[in-house]
Amino acid sequence: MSRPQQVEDFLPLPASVMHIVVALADGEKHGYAILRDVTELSGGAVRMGSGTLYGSIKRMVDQGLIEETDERPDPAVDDQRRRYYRLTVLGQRVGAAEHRRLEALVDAARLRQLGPRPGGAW
Amino acid sequence: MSATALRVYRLLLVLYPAEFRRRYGDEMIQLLIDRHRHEQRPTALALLHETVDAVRTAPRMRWESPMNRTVIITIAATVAIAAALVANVLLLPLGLAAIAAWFAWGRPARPIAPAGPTGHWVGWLAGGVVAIAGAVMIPAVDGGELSGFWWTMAALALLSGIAMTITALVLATSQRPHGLASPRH
Repeated sequence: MSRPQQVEDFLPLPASVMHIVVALADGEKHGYAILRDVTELSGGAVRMGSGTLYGSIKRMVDQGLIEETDERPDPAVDDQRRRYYRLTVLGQRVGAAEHRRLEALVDAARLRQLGPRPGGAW
Repeated sequence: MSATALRVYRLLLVLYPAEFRRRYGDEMIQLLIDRHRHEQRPTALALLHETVDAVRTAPRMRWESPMNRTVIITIAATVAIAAALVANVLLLPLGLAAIAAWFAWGRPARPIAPAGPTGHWVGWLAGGVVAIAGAVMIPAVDGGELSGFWWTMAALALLSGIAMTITALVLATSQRPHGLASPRH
């Protein structure tokens, strides 16, 4: 299967994919660490199930946005069933492009006074 | 997390395509264990959450696989044909019996369904339980790696089991004490 390599082809990213991209932005993680990060980043609003997480991971691996790493922090203390994932260069570029897209959207919302007003009031 | 809960979760994973299970099944089990260890959620709640997630995500994964797409279409066609046959074989005699009962006793106070068929709900329930048990056993016998044929068999058994159980419940709840249906004088 040929992979689309143009960053724009991936946009807009599904919310679950963007959450995983952001979770992996600061380094490689295993499934549970990704889930925990997503829950924290969303303030508890997003609680993915295993199927959603690994379904997204599978698609992201197939699309070349993330890859499985060979290294493990310490095989002696880490369960062999855990796999670690990290962003590829393409994944970083797609994440940055989605960030810009969302930022532009937020700017537009702010211009139309949808965002918080100065002083913290809505 | 108990061995039983893990066994239930392994069964749940059968919903996903075999290739996906081979690749991510162990990780998903590890994830469930990690969650249980760190989040202290009740096991039943965690399994319920995973069941809802599996029901939501597994069909899409199966549909994305061309081989599974063929199997899904085959199952849908088979179920449709089976449903038509069941409707003809079972519902027609029931309908005729209901009409005969209407003419024989013809009173509005009497339930339309005759007493005979409603007494068979235990048989329907037993059949439903056996069919569902069969659906659960098929993946176990086949080592959890369902081929297209066995997947079809398991799905058919499960659907038949559910249909029979629902029929049993409908028949059981439609049964009334004899006094209510007695003819008026």
